[in-house]
Amino acid sequence: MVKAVEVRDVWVKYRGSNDYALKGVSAEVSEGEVVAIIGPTGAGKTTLCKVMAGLIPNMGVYDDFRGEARVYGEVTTSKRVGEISKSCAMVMQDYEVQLFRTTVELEVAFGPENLQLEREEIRRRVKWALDLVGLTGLEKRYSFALSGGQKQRLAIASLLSLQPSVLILDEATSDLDPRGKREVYDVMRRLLDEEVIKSLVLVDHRLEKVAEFADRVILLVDGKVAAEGDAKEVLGMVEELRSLGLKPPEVAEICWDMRVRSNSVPVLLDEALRVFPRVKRVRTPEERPAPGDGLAVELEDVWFAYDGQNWVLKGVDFRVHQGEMLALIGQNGSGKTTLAQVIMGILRPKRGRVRIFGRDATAEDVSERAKDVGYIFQNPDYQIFSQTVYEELAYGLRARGLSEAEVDRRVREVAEMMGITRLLNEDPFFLQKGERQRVAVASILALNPRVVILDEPTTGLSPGETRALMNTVLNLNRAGTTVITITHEMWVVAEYCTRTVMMADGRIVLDAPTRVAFSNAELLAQHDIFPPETCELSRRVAGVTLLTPREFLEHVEVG
Amino acid sequence: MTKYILYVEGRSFFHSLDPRAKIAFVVCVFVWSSVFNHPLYTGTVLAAVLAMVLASGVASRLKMFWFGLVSLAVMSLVLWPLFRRGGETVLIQLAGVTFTQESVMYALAVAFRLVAMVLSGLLLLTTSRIEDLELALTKLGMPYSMAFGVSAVFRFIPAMVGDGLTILAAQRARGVNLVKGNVFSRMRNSAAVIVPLFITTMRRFGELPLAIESRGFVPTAKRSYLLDLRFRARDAAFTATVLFLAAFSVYLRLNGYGVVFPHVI
Repeated sequence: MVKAVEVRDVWVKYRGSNDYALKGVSAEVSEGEVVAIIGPTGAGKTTLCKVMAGLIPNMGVYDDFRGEARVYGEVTTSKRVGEISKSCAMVMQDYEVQLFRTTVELEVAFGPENLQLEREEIRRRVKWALDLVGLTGLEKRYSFALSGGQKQRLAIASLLSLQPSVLILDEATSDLDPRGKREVYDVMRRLLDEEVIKSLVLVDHRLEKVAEFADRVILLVDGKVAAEGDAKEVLGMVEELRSLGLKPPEVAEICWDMRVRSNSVPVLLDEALRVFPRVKRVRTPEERPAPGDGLAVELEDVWFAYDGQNWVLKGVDFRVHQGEMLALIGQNGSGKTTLAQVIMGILRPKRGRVRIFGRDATAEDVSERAKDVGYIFQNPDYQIFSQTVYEELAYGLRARGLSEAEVDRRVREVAEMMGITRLLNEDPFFLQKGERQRVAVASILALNPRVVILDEPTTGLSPGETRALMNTVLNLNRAGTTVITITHEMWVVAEYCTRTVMMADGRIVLDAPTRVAFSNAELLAQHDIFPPETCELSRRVAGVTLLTPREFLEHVEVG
Repeated sequence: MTKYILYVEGRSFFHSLDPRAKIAFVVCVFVWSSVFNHPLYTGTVLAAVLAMVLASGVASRLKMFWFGLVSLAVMSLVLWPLFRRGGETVLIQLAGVTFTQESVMYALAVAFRLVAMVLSGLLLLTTSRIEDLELALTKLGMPYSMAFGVSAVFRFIPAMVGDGLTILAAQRARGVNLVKGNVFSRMRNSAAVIVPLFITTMRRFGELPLAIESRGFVPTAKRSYLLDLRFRARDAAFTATVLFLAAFSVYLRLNGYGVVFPHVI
């Protein structure tokens, strides 16, 4: 088999960092193969991708680089990155930085232009690449006006126009909504089926997707290869993956715990369904106790438009009980964030009423509302601006005019709760993303809001970091805080939220207890939402919808 | 977000010119308004630019700049009479400072000049696609990496505005008030928006060089272009005309026309 990419004993130490990001990693990608790289945050996945694509060591500064990488037999060191991307190109997580031209067509043309191709050939490649990613017809559009999924597909097209044989997707779908994720993977399926690309390297925390696509999996831990092998074999290492804070495919978790095996632990739904034993007994899952009667948030026929004509919210009626923990789901552009910002008071409805704990808050200013409602934004960098974590947490408290003693007490309390006490004197700028996220969350929770809105809090976090954050939120909720979580991660909804509200096109199209909502697979699929695999598995083998592997384990008995 | 891209589609005369001809026009506006310091002359230049803006149908896109342009003019009107001393016709004496008719006329001339210059630049940006402009600059001899930088900035303005608005919302939600309090608390509060915007932008675009080089870009190398520009006879005629007028204006100035103060710009 032709070796497309070979990495031999590579050591990488970034300038100024204490430790090596890669410690003697060797890996191979053969032609015709899909290889996934998995591992916890900081394991070196992105670094390995960059070595494969020749970005390391050719760009950036390193205290040390040893070993070598070859792409189709040629050593990457001291070659131009653009030269390497003609055979092996990398798609990054943040689609915004990968698009720097104005229109769709020029974005795709940029590579071929640099190759000094003739105008006719450039035109041919632009047409070809846009067709492959399904963006034909949008040639003249401004790229910034596209949806996230379209932007990432455009980034892929603009690399395809260099005609690489190997494509590397480094968490390329992490920032996308479910539809965007599906679109990108549909494109990958097509590229592989039509042999437009010969090999694919994938980094994705969603191991279900990895199971579906990958032939082989490399597990990186702390800069070293901890395991490598057939995808089924590595993804079936349920205990190891769990202990690393990764999230094994749910069917693998269930099969592992219930000792269901074919030759190995099934990692795909179809496989699990084939070998799953007859179910002897199913206990009906009991729901978490219903929240009290008091209403925390009440929206009555709320309409909103940013420009006065295109309605983003179209008559939303929405009630949240005190102490509820609910999920707000739906594709980007469906109105979730707008709805949340109306609740927060950042946006004022054009029509309709907003009540917070019974009082009419429709015309209330956001600073007034902030006493009851806290809003945690997706990107922690959107709010962190102080020089120490302590100052950051104290800011909102001081703005509220609390005494220094009181400020100090609250800061220490919330830092303890979020597990960031040891970071209080650090400069938040230098913390890792997961830690920065905790600082941002803490700075809101310090204000003791009775309602917390989390706007995609887990984007870009690993499953382990996601769980740590959501567990803290769950504890708050148990202590009485009302929680509204906007999220694209259905397993987070299944595990943490008792009620699910789905929005589409400015309206609420589904509002039900999560179990009922996730039973309605057809309606969800119409909106490109796919519940966790456990729901499907339990429905097929046990005739009920169970939400999480643990719930499955606790309620299903097999013969 | 489209409103942050200045370009307005249109079929006006100015739209249809080759960007190089438009750049010639902007350069000439700079020359015309700089050689004279009499309000009648610089006013004529401003009137010409304004007429062009109206004829091109881009006035509405420039709404967001009006305030800035008026402030620019007002500032010039207030400051120049204080600094450009001289002249004989005393208008008024205030707190021991003499204002002459000449210094006021000069201030007016400079106000017209500044507004004409900025407006001509905006006219260029609202009637030309950034990518055409980029190609035009390259063809006029600017290194491609510089021209590319210019167009990239325009590409990222909408993303930055979007980030800025979200940051503003995020900070308001935690009690940052940007309009209340004394100067110091306001400065501290505006840092709550500026610092995150700066950091978000830095983090985001730190990877930009990787993305650009991955696409085969080599700063000094030759490249080909998908787009093409055609400098037609009409563009040539237009450019010749404005260049002639620029030369003629220099000639007029050298012969003492269009000045309030002959020895300054």
